[in-house]
Amino acid sequence: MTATTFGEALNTVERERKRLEVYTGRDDVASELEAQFATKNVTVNHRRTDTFDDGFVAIYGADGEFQGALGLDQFDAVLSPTTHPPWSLDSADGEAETLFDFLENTLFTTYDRTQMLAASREIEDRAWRVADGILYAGFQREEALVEQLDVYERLASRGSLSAVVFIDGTWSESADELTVVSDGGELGRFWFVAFDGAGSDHQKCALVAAERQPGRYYGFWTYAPEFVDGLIDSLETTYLD
Amino acid sequence: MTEENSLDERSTRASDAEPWSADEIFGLCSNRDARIALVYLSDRETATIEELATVIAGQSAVEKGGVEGRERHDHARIVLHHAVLPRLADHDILEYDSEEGEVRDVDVPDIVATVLRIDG
Repeated sequence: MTATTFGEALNTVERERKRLEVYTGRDDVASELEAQFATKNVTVNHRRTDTFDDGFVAIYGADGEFQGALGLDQFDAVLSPTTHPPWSLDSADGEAETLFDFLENTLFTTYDRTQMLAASREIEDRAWRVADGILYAGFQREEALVEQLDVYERLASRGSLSAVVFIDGTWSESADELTVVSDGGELGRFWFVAFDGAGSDHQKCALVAAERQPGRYYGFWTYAPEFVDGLIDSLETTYLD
Repeated sequence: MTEENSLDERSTRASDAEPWSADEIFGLCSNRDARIALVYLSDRETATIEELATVIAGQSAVEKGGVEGRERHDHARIVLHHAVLPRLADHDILEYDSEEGEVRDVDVPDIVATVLRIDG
């Protein structure tokens, strides 16, 4: 396992160019997706067809292999997630996880704070369900952590789950269950959430995003165990040893 | 030259062909994957087996309101290669180049297209 900094991780994902095929008779829908993915590492091809009522998209990996397909309506939902706290998800919401899996390791750009919170909830929810292991989260600034303090205190007191949070600068508030690490380095530039899976490779996941403009994020999420291990190893060696 | 021969061959086959029987039409449309492939092919003359497998996976995803992964795609490809495309080729609806994975000279008969529309 190699420790991977957030900047290195982002570069790795950038090299894995994917292809999105859009099957629809609507040129405006295809153009919109082309524009939306123009700055990501995704090539968009429009396969024009008027033969189906509902269009769909198919994703091909960097190896050219088919990875998955889903309807345009569902794809829209993935691209514009809505916020929900982890404990409000019912068991039928496994679909959300499948949809997030679909875009694994695909870069997203211009996510705003609301969308970042929703994407983060996916990982926080997994940690909540497992109720064990360690959840790592980088909040960049103290104010961002203060906003999410209740959520993270609740996560840290869930079963055997621990939560370690990072901010750039100093921490002037107090936390009961949470471990708060305040430092510099990459912490101020990246929003990240990583769960170690409590020893299970199937539960490991991470989200990493750089704030390139104020409130606009560029990043990816992954469920690849070795990738997640590398990110956590980097956090441990840089900020916790 | 090849193209001319191919066109001659098709017109001869078409003129010699028996009218479509109800059994033949319903037989062709009885398989879900075949129906999706026929609907997609009804407005184009060429496609690849890869494209058709993707269309079948995509339409299945729309119907179930979720994601279809590699398994569905692989299954569709196998069904297309071994059953659907050879059968459609036997009925002169298309030519299937199994080595290149290409489908050419597609001509879905109106009667089949009508049945597919009823099927919705």
